Amino acid sequence: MVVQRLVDAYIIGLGDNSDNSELLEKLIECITSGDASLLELVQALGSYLASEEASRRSKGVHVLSEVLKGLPEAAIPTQAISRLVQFFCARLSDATCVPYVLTAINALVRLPAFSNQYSIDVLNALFKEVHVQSFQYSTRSTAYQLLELVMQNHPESAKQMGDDFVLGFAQMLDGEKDPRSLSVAFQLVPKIAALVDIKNNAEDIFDVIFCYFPITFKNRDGDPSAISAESLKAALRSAITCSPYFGEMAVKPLVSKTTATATSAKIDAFETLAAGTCTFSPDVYRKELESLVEQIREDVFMSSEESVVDAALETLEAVYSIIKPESTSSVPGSPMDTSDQIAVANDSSSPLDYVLKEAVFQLTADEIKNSEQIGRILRAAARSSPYNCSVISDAVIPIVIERLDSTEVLTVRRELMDVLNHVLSASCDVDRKAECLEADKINLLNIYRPDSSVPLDKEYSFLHITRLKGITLLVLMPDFLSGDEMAVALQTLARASIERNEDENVNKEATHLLIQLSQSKPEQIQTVVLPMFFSALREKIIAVQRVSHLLNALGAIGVSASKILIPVLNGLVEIVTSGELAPPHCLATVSTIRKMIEAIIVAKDGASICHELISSVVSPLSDWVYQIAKKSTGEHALSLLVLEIARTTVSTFSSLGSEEQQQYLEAMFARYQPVATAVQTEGVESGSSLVQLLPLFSSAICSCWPQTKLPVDDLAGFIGNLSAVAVATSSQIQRDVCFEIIASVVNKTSDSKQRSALTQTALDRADQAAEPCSLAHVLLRNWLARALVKCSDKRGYEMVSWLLEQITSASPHAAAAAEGFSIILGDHDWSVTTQTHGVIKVLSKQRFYATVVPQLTSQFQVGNDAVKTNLLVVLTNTVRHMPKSVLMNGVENVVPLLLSAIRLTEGGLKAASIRTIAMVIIESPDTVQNELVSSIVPLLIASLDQNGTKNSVEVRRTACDALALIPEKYIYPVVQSTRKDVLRALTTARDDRKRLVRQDATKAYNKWLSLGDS
Amino acid sequence: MNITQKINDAPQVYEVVTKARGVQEADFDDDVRDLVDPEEVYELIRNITDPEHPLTLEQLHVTNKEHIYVDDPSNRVLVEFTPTIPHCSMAALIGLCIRVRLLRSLPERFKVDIKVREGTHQSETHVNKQLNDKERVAAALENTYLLDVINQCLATAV
Repeated sequence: MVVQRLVDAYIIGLGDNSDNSELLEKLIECITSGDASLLELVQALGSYLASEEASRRSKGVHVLSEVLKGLPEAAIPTQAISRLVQFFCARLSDATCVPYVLTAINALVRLPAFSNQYSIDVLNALFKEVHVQSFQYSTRSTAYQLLELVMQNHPESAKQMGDDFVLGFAQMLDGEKDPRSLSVAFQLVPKIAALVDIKNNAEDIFDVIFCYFPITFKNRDGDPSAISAESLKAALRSAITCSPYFGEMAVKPLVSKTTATATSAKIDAFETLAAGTCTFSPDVYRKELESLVEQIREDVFMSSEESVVDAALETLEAVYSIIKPESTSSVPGSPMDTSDQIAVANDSSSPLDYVLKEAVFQLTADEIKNSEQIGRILRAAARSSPYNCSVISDAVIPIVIERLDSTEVLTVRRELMDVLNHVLSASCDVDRKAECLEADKINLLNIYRPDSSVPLDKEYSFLHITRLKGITLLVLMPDFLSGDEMAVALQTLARASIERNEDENVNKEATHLLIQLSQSKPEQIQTVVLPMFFSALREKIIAVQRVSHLLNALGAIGVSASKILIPVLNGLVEIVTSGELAPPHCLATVSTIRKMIEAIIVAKDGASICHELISSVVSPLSDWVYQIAKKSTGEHALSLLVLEIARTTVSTFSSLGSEEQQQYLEAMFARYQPVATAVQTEGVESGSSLVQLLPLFSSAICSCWPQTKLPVDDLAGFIGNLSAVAVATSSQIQRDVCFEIIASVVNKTSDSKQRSALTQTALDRADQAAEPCSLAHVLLRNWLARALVKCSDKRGYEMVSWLLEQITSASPHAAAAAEGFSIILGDHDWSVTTQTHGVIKVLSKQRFYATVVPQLTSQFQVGNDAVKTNLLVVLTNTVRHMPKSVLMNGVENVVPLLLSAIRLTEGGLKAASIRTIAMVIIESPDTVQNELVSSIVPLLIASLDQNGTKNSVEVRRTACDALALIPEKYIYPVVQSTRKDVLRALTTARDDRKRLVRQDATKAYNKWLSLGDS
Repeated sequence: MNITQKINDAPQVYEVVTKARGVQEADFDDDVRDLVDPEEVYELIRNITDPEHPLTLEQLHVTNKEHIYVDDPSNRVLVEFTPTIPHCSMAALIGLCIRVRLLRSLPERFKVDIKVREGTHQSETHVNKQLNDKERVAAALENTYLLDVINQCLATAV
């Protein structure tokens, strides 16, 4: 009774389109719990299921299918399945019920008791009774799903049905138009082909799928469930190429589709042909080979799109990789070595003739046209197999060599060499040397030997580059060059890279080729090439430009192969520390070492070599600079050298574990005892060379993990000492180093109480050491604020308030306090940064912005002009380090202050304010629309004035850039009233004394001039 | 003449080798005055699009750095250009494009002369006269159709 009531209610709900999920759950619950049986449900549905009225019947089947879908396996008795299958099969002839019947059958197919025979019955009924294409998408989708389920759960039944299954599927798919269904159906085809022998119905199924080729489809934007055009194309391609039976039918039309004018269709046809080589018989390609090669040649020669050329060449390679010469393929299974094959192939026509004839014709013509394209085609064909490579090499190389012997025209020589390079590169690709190469070895070496008769000027640089590429190929060729010959070849390349050429492209290309070789021939590069570079660097008189070229080349070679990295670094370190390098070049070399290490550390396994880098690079360089400092000869730019080495230390040291860091720090403190003492000692002369070494300590200490223990007995005492020394010292380097270390240690102290105590110690000792409110006191608070604000410690904001108080109370160091805000938020090489494991909370910048900017705004209203200027400096320093997302939130409050900043500040700060305004114009033009004509444009015009000191080059350029943005972001009526003034100002700016300003002014002028044109 | 038919169907296209002038430290020193030089003028005109082809005057070697003469103190600029073929009927239009570009870009104090390079065009004198006659240039620029064409050619020269 309960079931009957629920069923009635459900069916009434169906009529009203109301939400029936609750009733459905109750019905399912009822049957699952055993309160009612499935039979009772069927009985309750009896009047509906047997009704003569189609809509009532469909509602009945709907309820039954929904319940079956929701029921667990155990709740459907095995004996009921047979009856249900029979019932549903019969109902498939009832069109109104079909959508629900298919859902119900899909629910039943999942059951373990659903036998193969049931599958066959269901599929027979489906294929016989249902015209799938006359139903909506959802029903068609369920039907495809049913086929997939049957193939997955009952593959035997599909096999048993054989041709009927294949034919049924073909009929089902015939006429399908929905891309979603097509995508599913295309994916079914390879599965069917794998499961069932489709031989008898291959044509039917092929016709049904191939009519969609080439498929194009544009998905709607923003539809997350949409299928992509690429996936649909790939599904169709895998369907067309899934069975060898399709080959005969597919290749010919595909070849004719390669002549399509639409690029995408052309590429699709080429790619499908290439994909088909995995399954189709070579014979089907052989029949169409001539026209295919002809078309590929046409595309390679004529097409302007590189993607078409690439697809065509890949197809050529794929096709040739399966086609064997007829004479050899006629004796399947007979083992023949390559030379036999060539002998046989020479007697009959070879498939490669289609490529070779044209190439040979072109190569023997008086004027060689399209040498690059000929080379590419030959290469693609040759790399298809070692055999093909031999055939092509045998046919082409002797011709090219003979021609090169007889011609002196440099352009022709270059073209011939280009073709030769392509053929040789195919040998490298297939990793097998062609037979003819050994015989022609001497000739080849002669061809690529540097020719002193060819001048080294720009006009012939292409010839030189082609030659260098050829030499590289000879080096890469397996088992070709002897050890000595390879050394000579590498020396030639190295010389081309090192020596100054008229055209620097030759140097670049040679370096690039060496980089390529360093990956496959690291030992030879190390023994032959690196010494040449090092001795070039050691030359007594060497220009800066040349050093930078050599260093760049060495850096690129070192970074490209891990085996060469350490030898390159060791070599450079040795050159620097040996004193053979002129002092001005030492800095450039150390800088290259740093860049190499930085590049290698970011690579995934870079951290593993940090140990080695510390012992082989960082320590020797530190020792060297320590010795220089002790001698204090003044030859070297010591502070810059120290900075570079300190940065290198940061890169390597921060990647070490905490225990290793601790050991290294202890060793460092012991080794450089005088410097370690100098860090904490007052009264070190500011000019002393040892002071200049202090950043080395600071960088190492700041790069430590928070858990690394510093080699000091009493941390608080250490920090206190540093603080006291910092405020008392006259050396700026010592002061900065002390502050960096204090900030880093305070920031990395995880316990807030301890952190607070350390902060207090630093402040107290500073107060004891010198009279409060000196410049150093202000800087100490700036640094402490940096440490604390970044880890979102509230004491950081106490420091910020103290600094703001200094500014508003017009203390003597107000300007320094304002400038110091760049320390709080700005970048630093090592103190409190992400790379050096500083504790930086996610929203720390947002919090700072939200706290400080309102204070600035309120104090700006009451302050005098001097205070206002300093507040604006704070604002600019705050704003310029804020992420855009933070800044744009509530930006309207900041805009008036920024405009005042443009008015009152100068130099870098003014430029920063203009940049921020420009950013607001880009991101949120509406926010400043009201101020635009009245305030912003006049201020920008005033900033273009080159007389006086307020507007530096940077200011004038940023003003031009900002003005250039306005015509892009605002419509003509908004800015038309000011257009004349702007054009007049920009006309004056076009005659600025600085070229960069003139260029920017011209850009802006032309934008304003064309404003309102469109 | 059929407007869609091109005067020179297949012009020789050259590889662009011009390197941008690097920024030096002195570029930011306000005490140093940077004089206008041929490179700066060339930078202004090299990217003008040819009226016939989607190629720049630089790619077609119509303009060349070596054929620009600047005398900043005397406020004189002379630009010589080379039409792709001697009977090029677009020569006057190309010259006009260069003139307009320089009119809108160079400081107003300069007197600019635009000339066809000697011996490169059959109506050289005629074109030169046309390009350096103020009134004829002004009249040409009042023609809105012509101005549109010029603006299109100059669109790439920013």
